[in-house]
Amino acid sequence: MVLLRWFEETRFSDWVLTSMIGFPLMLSLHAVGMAISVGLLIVLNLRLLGLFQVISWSFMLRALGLVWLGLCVNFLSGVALFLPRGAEYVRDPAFITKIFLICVGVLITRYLRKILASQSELWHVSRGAPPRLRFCAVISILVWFGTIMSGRLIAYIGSF
Amino acid sequence: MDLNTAVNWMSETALSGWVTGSPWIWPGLETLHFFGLSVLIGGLVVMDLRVMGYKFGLPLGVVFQIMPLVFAGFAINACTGFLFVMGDPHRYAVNYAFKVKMVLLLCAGLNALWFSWKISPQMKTWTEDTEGSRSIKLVGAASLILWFGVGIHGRLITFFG
Repeated sequence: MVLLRWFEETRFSDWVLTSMIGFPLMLSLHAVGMAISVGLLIVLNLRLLGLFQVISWSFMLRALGLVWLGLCVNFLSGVALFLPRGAEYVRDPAFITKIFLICVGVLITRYLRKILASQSELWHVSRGAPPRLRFCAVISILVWFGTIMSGRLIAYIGSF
Repeated sequence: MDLNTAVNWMSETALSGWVTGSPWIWPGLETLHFFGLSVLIGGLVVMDLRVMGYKFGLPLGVVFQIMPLVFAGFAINACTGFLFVMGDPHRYAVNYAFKVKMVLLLCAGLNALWFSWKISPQMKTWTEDTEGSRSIKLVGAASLILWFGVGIHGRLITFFG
């Protein structure tokens, strides 16, 4: 808590909160990173469920590189948005839920990547992935939807 | 009917009352709007990169197969966006970022129309390895830039009123 309070006092936090561009810039980056990473993960998960069969698994593995890039952008912009109000955020149920869902989403994505890299060559092209992975794909879409929802609710701290 | 009359009328409709009636509806619509944005951008990134000549082993059919996903994302956002404007028309009528967003949206729409009328019919004769002409690549690049611009200016509505 002391550390979080200290971060709130830094010049960086002050810049994010009070300058013309700090907060809007970080929020815009956060939206762009979200659209790229969640967007491509939706394509990947729908592919696992059997849609867009023209897309090869090797492309999907490559697209995961862009997903990680988007997630990095969001980690950095997220830290910049967090530090000025950290002490408040760590007690906010919406924020805690969001961080939990991101951890689950990242673990699922890592698991899918591992399976794709080792087994996708064996799958029949015209079908999707095995049932276990389809289940993961559905959970993944729900988890990222939940992440967006809880992230959005952070803006409404204390207003309900 | 001038803008003021239109805005006043919109804010008095039953629909407007519904949008602002419960504290959960606005954040709920925002969640759907962000999810729709992700769906739209996810499909566009794959499609436009292929049009721009980054083949990544993607066959051309990907452009046509993934189009419904892009439309689905757009449909979610057109509906939720319409509800935002109905819910708080006075705010949007004077919002600078919203106006820029609408102009960019119009440009992105015209760019997409140009693509579907002039370019996608040509693409039917392309093979997997065909690269489009420079002007075709430009249409793909413009699409990505314009749609990201739409998303960013949407985000900025909160700040530049």
